[in-house]
Amino acid sequence: MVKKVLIVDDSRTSRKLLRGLLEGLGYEIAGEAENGEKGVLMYKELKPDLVTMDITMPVMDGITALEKIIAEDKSAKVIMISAAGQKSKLLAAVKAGALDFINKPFEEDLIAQSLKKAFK
Amino acid sequence: MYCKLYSSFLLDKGHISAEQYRLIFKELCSVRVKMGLIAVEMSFMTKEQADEVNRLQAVKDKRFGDIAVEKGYLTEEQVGQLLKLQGNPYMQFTQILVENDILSPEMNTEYLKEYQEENGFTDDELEIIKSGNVDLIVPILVKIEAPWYTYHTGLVIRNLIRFVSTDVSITGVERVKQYTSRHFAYQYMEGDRLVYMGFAGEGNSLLVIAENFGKEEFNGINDDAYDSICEFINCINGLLASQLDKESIDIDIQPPLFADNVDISVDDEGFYVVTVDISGNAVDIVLAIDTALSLR
Repeated sequence: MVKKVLIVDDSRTSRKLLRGLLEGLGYEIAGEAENGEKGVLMYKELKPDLVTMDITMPVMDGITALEKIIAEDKSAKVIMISAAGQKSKLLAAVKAGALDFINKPFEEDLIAQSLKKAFK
Repeated sequence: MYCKLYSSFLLDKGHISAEQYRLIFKELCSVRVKMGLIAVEMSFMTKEQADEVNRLQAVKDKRFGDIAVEKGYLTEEQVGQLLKLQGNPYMQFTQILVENDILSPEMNTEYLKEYQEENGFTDDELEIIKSGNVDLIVPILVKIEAPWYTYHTGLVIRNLIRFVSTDVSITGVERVKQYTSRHFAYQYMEGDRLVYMGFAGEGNSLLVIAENFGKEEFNGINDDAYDSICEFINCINGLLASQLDKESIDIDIQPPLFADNVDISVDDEGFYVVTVDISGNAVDIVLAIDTALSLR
């Protein structure tokens, strides 16, 4: 069955590039959210197989959104894809329950590997 | 970058025509430098020896280096050196000039000397510029004493070359206290240091970044075009933040912003504007470190 991915990123460009990349890898895009708050709402509504989450976003940042999604569903698969690649962000994401952390500008191979690993 | 800087110099001086300038960049996309030309340039072989090996290559179906070694014109070590230089931008550029009868090797050498003297480059600096190594070139062209500015500029240039266009060159650097622009996309980061970085441009010059990074066409600098530019800025500054993190310098990246018809000013010593030419588009990189920009 085709896996469905929810993309959460405030940048339309980033969402578009990621959508193209993920669809090229055979995934279906369940939806797109432009901030963490919408991301949490859409997760509850759409129940995607996986979420890609940016960190630096207005309204609600990615780490907060990740915490809320995991509180809602402990088995949620969330991969952080962010330009903010500092160690503190990485640790916060892992502590909050992220499966993986990929730095922007993202490379197709790394994303492909990360999603493959998430669905093993 | 060497090719753009030097050929712009040749054009400005009237040593080449506008048509020849365009031809150079058209050829640059597909050239693979012939080993014989590099060998002559490096004084490993004479032109006559290189021509002989080229003729033999056509009939023997052997590689240039192998034939040259057989005939005793080159050593294996020299062939190794030449192989490394084949991707060298200076060599690619020289080949285009010679093969298209734009300049002879002798005239090229003379004009290169003129270029060096006019810019006050040392011999070592000229070799660095010829190498095409952006990280080493930027400090030569961006003579700002604070290493942070030089590093940040290098990061921006490298990523412009990586994601936007290989045709990028630095054309000016200025320290200013006031600056205006029609279009401005930027981001600031705060924490242990306060850092601003943005792109500014007149007309549609910023579209070269928006369209090449975002991989789509835009009808002018609209919100979607700004989004693409802002995401590119976000990626660059993320790399900066990660590097600073390794040096235990903590900065928090804020969401990028954009504005039209901005007037930027500071109360202190000023900030830097590095002008780059990206495929014929003039774009300003605005950089400020530990200086709060006031935008109106």
